[in-house]
Amino acid sequence: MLWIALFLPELPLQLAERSAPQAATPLVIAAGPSQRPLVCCANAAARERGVATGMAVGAARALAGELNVLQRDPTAETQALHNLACWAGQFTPNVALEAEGLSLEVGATLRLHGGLLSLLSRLRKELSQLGYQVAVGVAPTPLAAWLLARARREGLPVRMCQLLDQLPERLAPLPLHLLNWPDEVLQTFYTLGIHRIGQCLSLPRDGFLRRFGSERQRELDRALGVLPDPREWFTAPESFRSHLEFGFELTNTDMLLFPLKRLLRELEGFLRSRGAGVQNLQLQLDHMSRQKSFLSIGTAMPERSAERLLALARERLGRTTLSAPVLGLGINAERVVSYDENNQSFLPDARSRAIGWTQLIDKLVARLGSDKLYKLRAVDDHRPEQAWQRCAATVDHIPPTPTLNAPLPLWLLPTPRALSSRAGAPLCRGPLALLAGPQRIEAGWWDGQGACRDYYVARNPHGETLWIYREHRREAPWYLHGIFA
Amino acid sequence: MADAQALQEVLRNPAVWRARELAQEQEQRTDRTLGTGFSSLDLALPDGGWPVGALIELLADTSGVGELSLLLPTLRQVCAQGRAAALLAPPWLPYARAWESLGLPLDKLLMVESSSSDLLWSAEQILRSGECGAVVLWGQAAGRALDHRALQRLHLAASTGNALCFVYRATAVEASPSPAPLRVKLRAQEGRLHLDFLKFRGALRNKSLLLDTYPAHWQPQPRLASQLETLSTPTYRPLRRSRSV
Repeated sequence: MLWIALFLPELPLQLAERSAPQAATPLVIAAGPSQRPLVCCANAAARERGVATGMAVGAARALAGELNVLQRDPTAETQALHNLACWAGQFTPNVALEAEGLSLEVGATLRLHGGLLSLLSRLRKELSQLGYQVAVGVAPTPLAAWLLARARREGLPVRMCQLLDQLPERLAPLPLHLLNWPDEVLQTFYTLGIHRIGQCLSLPRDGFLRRFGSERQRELDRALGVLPDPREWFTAPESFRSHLEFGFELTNTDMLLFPLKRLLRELEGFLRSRGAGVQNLQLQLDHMSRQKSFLSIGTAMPERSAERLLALARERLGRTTLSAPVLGLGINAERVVSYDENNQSFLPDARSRAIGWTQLIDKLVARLGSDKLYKLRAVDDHRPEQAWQRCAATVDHIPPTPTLNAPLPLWLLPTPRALSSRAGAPLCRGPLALLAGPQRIEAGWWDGQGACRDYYVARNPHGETLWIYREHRREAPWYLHGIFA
Repeated sequence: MADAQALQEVLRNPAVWRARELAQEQEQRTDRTLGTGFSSLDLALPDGGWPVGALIELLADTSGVGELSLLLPTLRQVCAQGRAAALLAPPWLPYARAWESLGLPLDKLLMVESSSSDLLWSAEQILRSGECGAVVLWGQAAGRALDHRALQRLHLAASTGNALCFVYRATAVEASPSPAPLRVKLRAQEGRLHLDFLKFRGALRNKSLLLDTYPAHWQPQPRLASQLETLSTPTYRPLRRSRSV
């Protein structure tokens, strides 16, 4: 067993600062009774001006002058931890939620991720890309990992510990207050001159039990791995949703991309942990007074890469005009589908080519809309206007129709254009000379859109070669139907 | 040190293939030209075909002079290589059966309807992706957005994706500068397609060329005009009888 503790200090503050690059204005998170809210965390700018945790918000305002105060939102914190646990599922199936972060048991998956060091560096990098600051502790027991993580947060020199035998030695120099014991218990220890965990461990066991109760002793035993310390594993939900509040108004779609990228990275981790991808992703934009607008992004094949989803979202947002300023952004993946991981191929093959094609089509559709892109399907009908159909650009096989021997023009006019005539001879930018024909088409009497036409190839004085027809009845007008381009 | 030199010696041997280069070459075959399918045109063009990975401007004012038939053998060849071809902002509807009977697989033809900057963006994306071997763009739909800068971008994208990029424009822009290494003016001349090479890279045999893009028997036939009256009678009569009239 090897545990990694991910300690997210001052989570409310991190959540507030996550949606936007760090602001230089003082910011505090307020909690407690609404009559007298207290500062529960303050950012660096606020601390510089003397704001400390635990002081009244009114006092903080007086100290800092200009001060942003945000109300603490415990449900948002829980949701954020949940989403982070979903994301962490890509590293190990054994993730446990803690009050201030996550515990990951990575003993079984260490080899998959190329060893502890590469896993840790990946965790640190990707967490900072998500916008979180973490303190990491590594130990054979979860409690010890947390002690190390807290010690690292306080700037104490700690090393990670992989072996159970080394644990008492590594924990010994840590200060006692990291254990989060009640103040009066700690005070008792301090009066005894005991400040470090090591001193605590060397106390006689029966005396310790009598004086401080079995609860404290069990906690120490669990930290040292003497007693088991089972955790309840987090179960990832079927769908994923994540949300960010900005705390200010965004009026430009470009500014949404930065927070969106963080959300998409979370989604990618979640999808990786499930071995899944999404085909449809919904963006939720929050406006004033609880109004929301939604945008949906679809892909032809299941997708999970945050980079590619972001590229699609960028095009989709590019052709959207914001109806109102945006205060929050959310993503919502209701349905996840199975995703086949594509191997990096050494020699390009048909499969990698097909993937490139669908990614191109997705990108174009995201900007232009799906109706602007199409392929054509030929239909076995002699009437030109009935002989084609549009189909989606992702169709990769179109059955061929029997070949026609008659000359056919490359361009077809959407509707035949009536031509004027002089003494029965057709005119189109000058008198038309007939080159070939007639090609008689007599079809459609069965479906009420009958056509009895004689088609000719004709050329006008400008050298344009045209496809014209007239119905075979007396005095019938001439029509232009195609162009031999 | 001596070993490294010996290794360099071996690697310099043209018979030694490096796997990395092999993969790259497979991915984007760096053939510099693609045959046009017209032997006289192949002979006339500097490198024996259309320059691949470059912008090619075709200036024509009228449609129906064989300006698209000129590209058909090229598009056929591109499709036969397994790459797709894209038609961007076609002025009319491509008649599916005609394209099919001329040997172009319809599942390899992508049509994009768009205009101005969106159109140019799409062209650039398609070219860059390298998925399409040829992109044919009708510049009229792009309007004023198709300026020198946009052409430069297209040229760059074509070379990135190693694709052919044909752009049809009006002859009015003949005098304006263009980054395209090949500019051809097209017009009809007595049922044949007349090509004027306005700009080219390298040595050219002729400044102009005549191509047959239509079947040779398509000549004005007064006989047909005289038949019109009899053909349009309300009752259907076999052609044989009408000829004897």
